[in-house]
Amino acid sequence: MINLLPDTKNIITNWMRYKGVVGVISSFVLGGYILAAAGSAGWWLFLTRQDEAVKAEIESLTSQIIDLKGTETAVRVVDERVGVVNSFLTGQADPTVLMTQVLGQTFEGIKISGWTWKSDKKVAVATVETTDVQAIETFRQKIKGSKVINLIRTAEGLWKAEIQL
Amino acid sequence: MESGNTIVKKWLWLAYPGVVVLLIGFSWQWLVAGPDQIWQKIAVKQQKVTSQQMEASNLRQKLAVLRSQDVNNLQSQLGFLELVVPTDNKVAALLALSRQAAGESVTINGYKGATGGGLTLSLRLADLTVLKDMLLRLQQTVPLLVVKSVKLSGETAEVGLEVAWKPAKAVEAEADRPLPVLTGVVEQLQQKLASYTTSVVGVATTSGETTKADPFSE
Repeated sequence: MINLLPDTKNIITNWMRYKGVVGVISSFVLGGYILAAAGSAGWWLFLTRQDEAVKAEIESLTSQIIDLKGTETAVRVVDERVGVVNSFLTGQADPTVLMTQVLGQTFEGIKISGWTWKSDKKVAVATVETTDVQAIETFRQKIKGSKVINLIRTAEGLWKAEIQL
Repeated sequence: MESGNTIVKKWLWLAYPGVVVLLIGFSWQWLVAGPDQIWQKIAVKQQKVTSQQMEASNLRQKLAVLRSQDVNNLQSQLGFLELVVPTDNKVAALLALSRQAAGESVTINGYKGATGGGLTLSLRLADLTVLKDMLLRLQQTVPLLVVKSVKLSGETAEVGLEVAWKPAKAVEAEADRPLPVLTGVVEQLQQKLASYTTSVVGVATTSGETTKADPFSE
């Protein structure tokens, strides 16, 4: 006759071999888990305390800063004005730059009789007069980027050129 | 044959690992996974605390800077800055400064009001060199002047000029905004502009407004 019932005694005996190992592993896992949980809870509490402390400090500092509102406004007003002054000092077109460029060179037989400059265009137009038309070309060559925009010969025999600089 | 009680006693050692597994299983959501896990909360809180500590540090610095400021000194600095770029159009200063800049080598034939509150000066002068020197002097004045246009024709010239001015902007204190650094900035400007010609007529304005005694008052 075949016995289909499990052999309980044998099963228990087989499992009993792992009792020690399972107990040790369980203790390690439990110990580690408890340490991690306790550590996390402790860290959480520590952070909560720190959070409250720093919040209180911020409130106190903010209220002290608000007490010095007048001084803060003064600093900001001065700073704003410094910006305004600097923008005027650095942002304006200088009408003398091109004049210095032209006056720094010698042009034989040329008379500068006119000068037009506008701050928004930042270019100047010089009117030059000469009896020698070649002098105008020499002038143009000496001033880099310049171009003759108008050239006429007067009744008196003078060459009059408008040169854009 | 063993009784059921004996069998249970023999299997009892498995209760310990079972309880450990159950404990971990039930608290898993709270500690490791799930929306309420404490480690994630800790990370978020840590970030929050760090950023608040930085904020507190900034506020401490700001407070120290504010305590070190002398309001009288700031007022005098603002006075200087508003002398350089007034808050209103000081046409009288423009007249005075242009006369000073003209000197003896340039004759001012007349003044003409220009759009935008400026003036156009009609001048008589020898040549471009004289005009250039005058323009250089005009650009070295306090209040600052802005040359808008220059037109030389023979011995006459027209120069369009404006006083650099800008109305005061309403500025408010903001506790949580960092303070601008002003250390030495105004002193540098004072040094830079030390050689500039100052107009003795600095108070007349086109609108006839008077200057506020306390520029920081609301």
